[in-house]
Amino acid sequence: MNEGSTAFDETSKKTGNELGLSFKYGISPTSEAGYREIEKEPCPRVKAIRDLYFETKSSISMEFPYWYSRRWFELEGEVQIVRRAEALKSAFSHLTPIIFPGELLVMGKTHYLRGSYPMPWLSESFFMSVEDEMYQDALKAGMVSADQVTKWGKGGGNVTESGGNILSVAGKFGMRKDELSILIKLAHMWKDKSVEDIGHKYEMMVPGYDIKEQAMRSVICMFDSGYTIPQGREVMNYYYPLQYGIGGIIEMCNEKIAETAGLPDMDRLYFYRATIIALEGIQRWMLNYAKEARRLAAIEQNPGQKREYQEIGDRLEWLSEKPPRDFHDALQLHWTFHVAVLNEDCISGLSPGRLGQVLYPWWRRDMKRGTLTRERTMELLECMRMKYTELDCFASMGVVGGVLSGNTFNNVCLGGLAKDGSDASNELELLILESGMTCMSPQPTLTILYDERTSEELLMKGVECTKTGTGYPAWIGNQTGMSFIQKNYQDEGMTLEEARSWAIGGCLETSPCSWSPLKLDGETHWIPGGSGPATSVGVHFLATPKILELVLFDGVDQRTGERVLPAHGRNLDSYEELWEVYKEYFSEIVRVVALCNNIQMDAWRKICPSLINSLLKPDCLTNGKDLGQGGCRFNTTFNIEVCGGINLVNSLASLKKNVYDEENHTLDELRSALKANFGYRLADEVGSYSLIEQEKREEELTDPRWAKIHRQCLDAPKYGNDNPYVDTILQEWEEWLCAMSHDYPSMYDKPMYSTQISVSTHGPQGAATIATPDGRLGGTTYADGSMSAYPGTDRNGPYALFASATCWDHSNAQNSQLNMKVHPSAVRGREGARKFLELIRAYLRQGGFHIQFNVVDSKMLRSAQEHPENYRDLLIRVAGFTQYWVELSKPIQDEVIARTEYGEVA
Amino acid sequence: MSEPKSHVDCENYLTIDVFKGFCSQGKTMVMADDDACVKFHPAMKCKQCKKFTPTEETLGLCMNKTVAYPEMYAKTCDWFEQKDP
Repeated sequence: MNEGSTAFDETSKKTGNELGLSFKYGISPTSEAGYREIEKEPCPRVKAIRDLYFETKSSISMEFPYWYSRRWFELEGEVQIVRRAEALKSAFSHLTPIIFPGELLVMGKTHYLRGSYPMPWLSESFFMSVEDEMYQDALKAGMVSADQVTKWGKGGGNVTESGGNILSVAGKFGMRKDELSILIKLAHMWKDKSVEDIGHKYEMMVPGYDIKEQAMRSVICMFDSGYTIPQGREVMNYYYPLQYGIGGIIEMCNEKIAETAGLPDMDRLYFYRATIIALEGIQRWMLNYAKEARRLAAIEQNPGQKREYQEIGDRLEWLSEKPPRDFHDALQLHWTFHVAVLNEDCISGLSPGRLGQVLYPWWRRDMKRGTLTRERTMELLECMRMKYTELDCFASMGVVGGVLSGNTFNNVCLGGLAKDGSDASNELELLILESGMTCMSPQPTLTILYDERTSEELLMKGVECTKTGTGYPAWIGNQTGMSFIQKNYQDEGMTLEEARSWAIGGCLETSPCSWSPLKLDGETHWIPGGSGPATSVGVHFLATPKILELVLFDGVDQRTGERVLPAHGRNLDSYEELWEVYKEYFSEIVRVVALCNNIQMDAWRKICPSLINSLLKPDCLTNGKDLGQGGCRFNTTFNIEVCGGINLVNSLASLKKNVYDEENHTLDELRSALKANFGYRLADEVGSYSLIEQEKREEELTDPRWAKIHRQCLDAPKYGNDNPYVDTILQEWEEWLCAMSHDYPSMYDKPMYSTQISVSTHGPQGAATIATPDGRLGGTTYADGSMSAYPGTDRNGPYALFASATCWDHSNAQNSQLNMKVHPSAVRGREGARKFLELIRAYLRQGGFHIQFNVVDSKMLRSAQEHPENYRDLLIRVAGFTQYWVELSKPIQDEVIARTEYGEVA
Repeated sequence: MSEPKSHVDCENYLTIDVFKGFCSQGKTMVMADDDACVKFHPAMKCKQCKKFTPTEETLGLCMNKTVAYPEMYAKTCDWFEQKDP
């Protein structure tokens, strides 16, 4: 045994080996637990900013919701979209500007460094339901000192308990006690007027609505759309402000007003007027920052810092009206609009897209002129990384913790193809990758759109970055993504040329984009940008193993004892019958949830239409429609998300083999074993959420047959080993899921599609699911992603895993997701890097959509779990996103620790 | 005897999070609720405004008609008028 490896290996022996699972593949690692081949540091300026971030807690400010609500309620009777614009303008105009020394990019969501706020116009019920509890908490908080709750350790930047003048909201956000009353006051004002309440009133009219209620209660469906995160999982488009400046857009809107006023389709008039109002709010917001910069400059003694404050003031004043003059201006303006969109709605997964290609014209020009250096570029890019990392999202409680793990999913894509089909990568993208190594931080996460034409230099730089252990870049098959784009948007006029502009929105959501002609110094540059609304609204995460539980137990949730679906009353005498019932149950849940979410999204577009995001997205400004009214160029954007697919497939394989083909046990015997958790304690009782560490119940409380059945379940064929027995089941499931998703119409009356990522939902949905026929124990976390093997069950090496994963056509779904854990020693040195790139290539060439790596030693993760105070900066890839280890929940940490660790990749 | 002043009520206090901030005069991190130094200068907050009328401990009225709260920053408010000391 290697030195320092005891914790992981001993616990493996405890249950992992006992269950016949191996959590390692290949040769044993030879390096120390904390070994990292590549370690870099940010520039001193950014190191100071990052150190400050590490000491910063997530904080709620009521400023934006206050001013938004105040203006909204003053304007009763105004045209809805104009009322919304006025409310946004008021909120932006009143945000208190804060600028910290050393910052080269400024502006944020709130006056806190890591600030966010609730939007009661979307949802207010949570605050109403916990009003008394929060007031009690506020009383008790005074008895605990603030110092006691600001200690480092588990939780990182999360405010996990109340104390002093601070309240902990949902175990993550800190709020000053003196803002509680206004929060509750606003929640009362929005009661029966919020998207949540209006949507709920009408969704109850959907036939079979009670199924949706039950599906939510049993955690079969993770969350609703319209009032949680109605926008996001999409790609931003910065073309209009970059090309025309804010003043130019206002001018365009005024011209459009003159063209539309009094003519039919009058909604266009209101849209243009509302756009101007919202932009005036952004201008005022920028000018407030400019004024603050000048105030700070006036009192600053350090000449360098004084000059920087003055430059910030000058830059913001210029950009409040005009297009950027240089790279720094362009970077600032993109950031301003990024935050502006994030402030208009509760949004996760708002991706800058192919930012390196968008900003390249300014960068190249500045470099040619000699007004910019690579060193200065790195400083700016590192500053940008910190601004993105500071972003927080205050969504509903289940969404923030159970789905997002506190992440905001701002994805920058690199590579891919240009409009003419040539390689789109450039030198600035190499620096973006380099800044991701020097300034390791969760945001923005990076993705390489791998194409056979992508430059070797970018690919090798990407491998170098992956080897740092940051968990980024993600590797995506560009042709697979383009193929989905072409198929999904062909009815809306998508061409091959336009498909080349695509990018990832959010963690892995394939998003439609388009090319825009940016003119700079008489030269035209075709820059890519998002051209559709949110690509992941609709049915949010169906727990596929839990639906199998309903099939096996005639529609009743075995955790709660409640009926979710009407009894099917079938004997399930054959595998085919079981599979038919599964499809019926799954379809019925999708039908009801999809209809309810369409209603919620309709309430959202009526009550708080998107304005800032709309004005940026082609072709909203052209046709005078906001994106909720189908103003974007591409609108086939609703989805059906699933989670736990591999546990479902492994379970189906086990049922087929053990119950039907070989009759090793009966269905009733299996049911009894599942209900008894195969004789083990539940995950919550043990406090462990993977199979590495579980405990059996006392012998007198168990039936010896359960152990035998469990053994048979675990020995059944498992996905990830190139075994046709189980891979054909996966193929059938995928083909059916991708096809059936098209049967449900979205709010835009377009067919939906399947989405196959887990984010963090495999934790809570696993927690709500009893033991499954694949041998997984009750309450433990599902396999992550959709193509990742269940931890410890992939035994035949990476290429066998790839063969299993690519047995179906990934371009029929919006995405798929394969995460692997590789020991750093397996990819050491230049030779290791080459092998690593070949591994990645092999998967993507086989048609895989996405692959992602944690290059980390499992022993280090175990140590980080035991001593979080020593690992504040440890980044880990979960499922489509990178997050600080200390900010992840234990079920997710346990699952990452348990993932099979590949000691070799050849 | 005058009321003790906290950093969080000072114009020089730049908020970092709900617990602490950065003093733009002293160039150091300070805890929000700790006593301020001699360079204290009141921040523009609703509670410092002539047009704010308290109705309860953490709520009040702006211009006698709209709900507001005393701790809200008012640096960006066009209606702010500093109360007499």
